[in-house]
Amino acid sequence: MTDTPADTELGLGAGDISPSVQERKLVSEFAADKADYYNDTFVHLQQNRLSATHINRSALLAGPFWGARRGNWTHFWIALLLDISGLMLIARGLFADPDKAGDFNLLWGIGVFLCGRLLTARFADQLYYRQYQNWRINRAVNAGISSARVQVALGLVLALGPMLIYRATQVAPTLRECKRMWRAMGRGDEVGIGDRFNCWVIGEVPIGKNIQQPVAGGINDLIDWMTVTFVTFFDAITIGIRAVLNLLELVFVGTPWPVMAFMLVLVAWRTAGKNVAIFTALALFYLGMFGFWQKAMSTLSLVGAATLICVVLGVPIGIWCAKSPRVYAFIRPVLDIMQTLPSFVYLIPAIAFFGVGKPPGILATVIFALPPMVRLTVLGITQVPESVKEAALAFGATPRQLLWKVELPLAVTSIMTGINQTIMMSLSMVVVAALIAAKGLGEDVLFALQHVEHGLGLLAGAAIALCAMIMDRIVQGARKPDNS
Amino acid sequence: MKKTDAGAPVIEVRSVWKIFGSRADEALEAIRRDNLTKSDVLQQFGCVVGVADASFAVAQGEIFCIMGLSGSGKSTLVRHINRLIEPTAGEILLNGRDVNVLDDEELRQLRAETIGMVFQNMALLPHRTVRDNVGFALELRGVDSYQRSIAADETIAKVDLTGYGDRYPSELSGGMQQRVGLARALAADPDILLMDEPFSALDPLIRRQLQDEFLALSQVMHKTTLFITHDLDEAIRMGSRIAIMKDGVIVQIGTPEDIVTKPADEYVSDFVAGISRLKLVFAHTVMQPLEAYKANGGNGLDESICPVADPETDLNALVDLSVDSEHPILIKDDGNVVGVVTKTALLRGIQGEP
Repeated sequence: MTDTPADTELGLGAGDISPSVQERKLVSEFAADKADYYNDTFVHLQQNRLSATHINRSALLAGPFWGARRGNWTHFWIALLLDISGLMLIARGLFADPDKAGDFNLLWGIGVFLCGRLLTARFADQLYYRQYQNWRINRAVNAGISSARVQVALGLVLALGPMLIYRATQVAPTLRECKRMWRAMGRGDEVGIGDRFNCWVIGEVPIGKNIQQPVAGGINDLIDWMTVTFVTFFDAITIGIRAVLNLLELVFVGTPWPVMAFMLVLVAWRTAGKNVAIFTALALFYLGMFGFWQKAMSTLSLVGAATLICVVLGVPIGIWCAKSPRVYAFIRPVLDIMQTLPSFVYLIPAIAFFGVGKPPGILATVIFALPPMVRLTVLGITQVPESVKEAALAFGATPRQLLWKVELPLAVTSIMTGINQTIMMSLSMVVVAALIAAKGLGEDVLFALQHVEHGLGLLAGAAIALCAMIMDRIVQGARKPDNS
Repeated sequence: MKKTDAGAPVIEVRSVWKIFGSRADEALEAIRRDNLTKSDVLQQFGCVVGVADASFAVAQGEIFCIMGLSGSGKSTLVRHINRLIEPTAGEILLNGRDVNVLDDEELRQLRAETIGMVFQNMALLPHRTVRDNVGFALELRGVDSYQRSIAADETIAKVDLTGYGDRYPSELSGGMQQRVGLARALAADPDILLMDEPFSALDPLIRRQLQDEFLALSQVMHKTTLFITHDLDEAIRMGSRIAIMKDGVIVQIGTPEDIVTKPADEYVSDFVAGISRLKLVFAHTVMQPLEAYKANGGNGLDESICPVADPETDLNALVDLSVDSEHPILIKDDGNVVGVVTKTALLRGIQGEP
């Protein structure tokens, strides 16, 4: 702690301290050591006058320990990460593969280490200034300098550093190699301490598949049991989906192409205007010329069925969630999982319960495309202004009237956006659904992938994109007149 | 419109308490037992006192103003009348009927048929035309669309919006939107109007115009009105009586003249300090009784040369009489001179000092 005489004097006559002097005093209290340097630096920072080559020399030399000493753990961790990465590369270059790749790793490691030091030293004062501002708001924030923190940092570095650098010099043993080693140990053979250590610490966590296998087996059994036990339930769902799909296929596939093309262009023109109609005509021309017509119509009916099911399920679920935060708290993580699980994973239960074909394809699509429908319905309903709802209640609305006459009409924009999102996501599932024989344009893409038919694959991909754009433009166009 | 006896109040509020928070009942008990202050309640129970022991009665056809600053609990209080907010304790009687014992269906009926409400932020339905907004209460009651549009058009005409029935609210100016809000409240022909700062969001000229129009309408329709405002000028213009609220408590209830001439406490007198008394204070307040005037040696009371006024003449009119004459004004009631207003008394009366 180096309180200058001037500081002490000013501390006594607190009445007539000018703001800048008071600021200096605070910075000195915060920085404790090298107060003058930090005072000047902070002033330059505030004035945007810090030069591009400004470097905090202590931070350059001490690396992460500068951050630890000053209590700036952000700096500490970033600097530590860069330092250790650099050192690991250097170690690998020196010990692991001493040839050309080794030289490359060595140079790259030195580069990472030096650049990391320069970078963290360059931004150390910015980080420190932010810490100072936080400290001014809340005095519990670290300030001053502390050797205890340096000791903690040293402990961390000693605990982590050697092991990480050692790991960089070793090639990880595979599980099979380790098993062989353990068997050898069981026979009483001599095994080097280094190999034993590597098997325990480097590579896979030394548990093997002892847990994975029985759990996966249990799930298998569960799925088998469910498939047999709930066969009527799954069949009922299949029949329901097939009913919707048959209707749509009748419309899209069952109509001769000249009639269908005319209808689509007409619908585009009436709902979305001349430009969209021209675009639709051109897109349909493309589909026809390259022989995608039947498959495109089949895809449209798949997407249409999936979207219809999503709306029928998603809007009521959304309304329920909007009315009951408790239900939403339960549904929200389910939606998150539905959206983030890789789409291939849906196919596994879909095949198990429903076999292959279009209904399970649609079902997997519905699972993938349902979340935005629910979310945007919730958003639409919850953003209806409280004042409007209050007014409706004040005039004697029943809960049902409130929903139908106030909330749903005001949420319709959001719900239409949800339908749009659902259509887009359904189309993106078309290729994946083709894996379980859901037919349509996805089938061609899949075929092209399997037989290295680049041209066909790209043409079919473009056809899918055009289908998506036609539906998007028509739905968006249909939505606009409602708004005005 | 149901007719009620002139004497019986249409709205009666009896010691209503509203305390927000999960421990409201405990807090109320503690307040009654230990006389806690608002901040004590917040500290000890985490509860906020919205309305504290409010009582008042509004007679048929009266415009009763509740005046208070933001957070004084006036909007909370008015929402008890149609039970948008349930009281922690106390009773609310409408035409003698306790609102708090109604079941859901009866409550909806009461809201749809007996009470109309106007909101500060209009709260119109943006997806409906003006006509459909105005007919909203009727629609909720199941009135068919033909009768609804007849009734709506009549009400639209009353608020001077004829020709705007097929427009959307967003196409209208703020003042016009609030007329729609008023028409919506009037369309179902309710007995009671609740007006929650209806004109506060409007600019001063439009506000004045709407105030005048509402007063004119009110002369014809005789709706019992509860009018919430944070503006004392507005309260004085609109109200037959005014209740002044502070921190959830009704500090004073009285006619505008009572409030201005006899403020109940410092808070109210601070409020009325800047108010013009010209149209609020009447001759009977500033006059000197005849006997007292004579006892002080006053004379020169010749009815042929002195101006004459009755006790209900306001200061503004007295000033007009006074500037044309050198003599004091005689106040006559039923043909007898009851008092005298000298120039000094008149000027002091305008100033608000005795």
